Formats: sequence, structure tokens, C-alpha cells
Amino acid sequence: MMKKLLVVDDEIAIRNMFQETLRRAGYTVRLAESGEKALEILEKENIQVIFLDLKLPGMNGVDLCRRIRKDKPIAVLYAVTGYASLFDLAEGREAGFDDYFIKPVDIEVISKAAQDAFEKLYRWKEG
Amino acid sequence: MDDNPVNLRMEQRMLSKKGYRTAVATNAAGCIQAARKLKPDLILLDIVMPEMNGLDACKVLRRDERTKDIPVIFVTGRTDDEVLQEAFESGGTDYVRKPVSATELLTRISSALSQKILIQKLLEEEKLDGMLEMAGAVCHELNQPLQVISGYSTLLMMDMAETHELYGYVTEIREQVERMAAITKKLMGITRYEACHYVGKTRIVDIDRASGRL
Repeated sequence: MMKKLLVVDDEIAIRNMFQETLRRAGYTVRLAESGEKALEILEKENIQVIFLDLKLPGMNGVDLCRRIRKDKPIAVLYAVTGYASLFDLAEGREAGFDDYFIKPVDIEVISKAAQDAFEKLYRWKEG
Repeated sequence: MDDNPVNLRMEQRMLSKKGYRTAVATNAAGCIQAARKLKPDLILLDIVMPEMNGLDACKVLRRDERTKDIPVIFVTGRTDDEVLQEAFESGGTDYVRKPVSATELLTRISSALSQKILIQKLLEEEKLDGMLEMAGAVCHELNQPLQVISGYSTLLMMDMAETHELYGYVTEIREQVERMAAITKKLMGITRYEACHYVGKTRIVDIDRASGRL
């Protein structure tokens, strides 16, 4: 199975850093700078592991998560935020996030989260 | 403040019976000076006085940063609409008619002081809201570059042997990022307004106390 994931963040430096980290960990990484761009990519490609920044231009991360969750019930969706108060835990769970990380997050934690996500997907598919 | 010493003594007696401490002035200039120095919780101000009247004195008090928030109750024998309107326009909080009744005076004082406490509370809440919004913006803006520096310094450390001459520098960069991340974490935990003295008269928010860590 090709391990492809999507990183959505409006800051190019963060997108590039996540890409480099996850590429080194063996993943194919797609990048989007907005919710709209993310939906465009997800329409064309089968991606089931997604890291979402919460504060995005246009559609925010929580609304984007809701939209993605409708079409991808087993996808693993992680919120990544620079400000914890933007993330209301109950709202985040209700929107469909599996977990969240507060920036700056250790990139080893991000790599481990990606690994856990693919293991979870694998179990679902095998089971 | 009253230019009539008999009125002053009578009002002082009424107030001291209820536990209020008072200072007196017999003219506007003395009242303004005392208010700046003593910063009382409330000022009782006669309107009709020689030289500067009570209304003008009140305007001066309102313009001065040191006295602008002190409630002023006018004590006046004149109750015509024109004077009362001027009293409020000059910044007065309330008025009491002469001859002064103890019950009316004490009720008006109590009400003005409660109002002052309420305003202070609202201002504190406003200050806290502003501080939290600022803290949120600072956290968000700082955590973005911190994420990038932290990520790339970790990647560099992965690529370097521990014996590399630059390894120590990269470790230091990462440690300092962690230190800054700890500060933004504290900022995110702010729940109340707390300030401390920095240098001289400058005050800064005490992040540890404001976030409940002390």
C-alpha cells in the first residue's frame, strides 16, 4: 500500500518542513495551503491520513474536517494548531478529528502519528 | 468640599458614624490638590463657591488621569434642571440636596461606591479579555516559526554525528526553541490579569501568576 498523506497549512515554511520530515519517514506527501485546495486534491487522490492546521484562510480546519469526514469515515484526521484555545476538544471530536497536536510539536511525534494512522488503516482493511 | 465649615463638620460627623474616613477642603483648589494626593474613593462637592465653583472643579478632576475615575457627588442647594444637567455634564456621578439628610447622603454614597466597584470589575474583565486575545495572537504567531525551527533543528540533529563540531550549536537551538515553547504554553494558560513591576514605574504582565503557575 502506498503511504500517501496530506498536510494542510497556510504557511509554506511549515508545509515544507512537514513534507521533509514525513518524506524521510517514507511517506508520499501532498501539500495544500487552504481547505479548498485540500478538497480538490482529495477529490482526485485517495488519501486517508491528513494533518490539518486549524487556522486557514477561507474554510477553517474544523469545517474542513467535517467536510472530509463525510466522504472518508475511516480516514485518520489530525488537527495541528498554534493556539490551543482555537481547539475546543468537544467540537474537535464532534467534527471528526482523531487527535490534535499543539505547535511546536516534535517532528518525531508527527512521524509516529503518521505511522499509527497507517497501522490503524491497515487493521481496518485487513479486519 | 464645602466653603461652609458648619456644613463640612456636619457631613463629616454623618460619615464618620458609618466608618468613612474623610478629608476636607474649603475651596476648589484645595479640593483638587487633596484629591490628587489622597486619591479618595469618593468626593462630595459643593456647587456654589467663591472663585472656582464645584462644576468647574469637577471638570478639572475629570481631565486629570489621577482623579478622573473618582466618583463625585454634588451637594447643592440648587435643584433646578439647568444646574443638575450641568452637574452631570461636568462629570458628576450623583447629587444630594441641601439641607443634607443623613439617610439620603449615605444611600447615594453607597450607591456611587458600588457603581465604582462594578465599573472596576468590568474594566478588569475587559483588560483580561484584551490580554487573552493578545496572548492568543502572540502564541499563534510565535508557535508557527517555532515549529519550523524546532522541526529543522531536529532533522539536522538526525543527520549529524554527535561528534560533529556543529552538533552542540544545533542542540542549543533546539533547547532554546523548547524554552520559548514553554513560554507560549504559559501564555495559553492565562486565566487572570496579574502584573508585576519591571523597571521603575513600568509594569509587565506576570506570566507565571497570570497562568496560575505561582
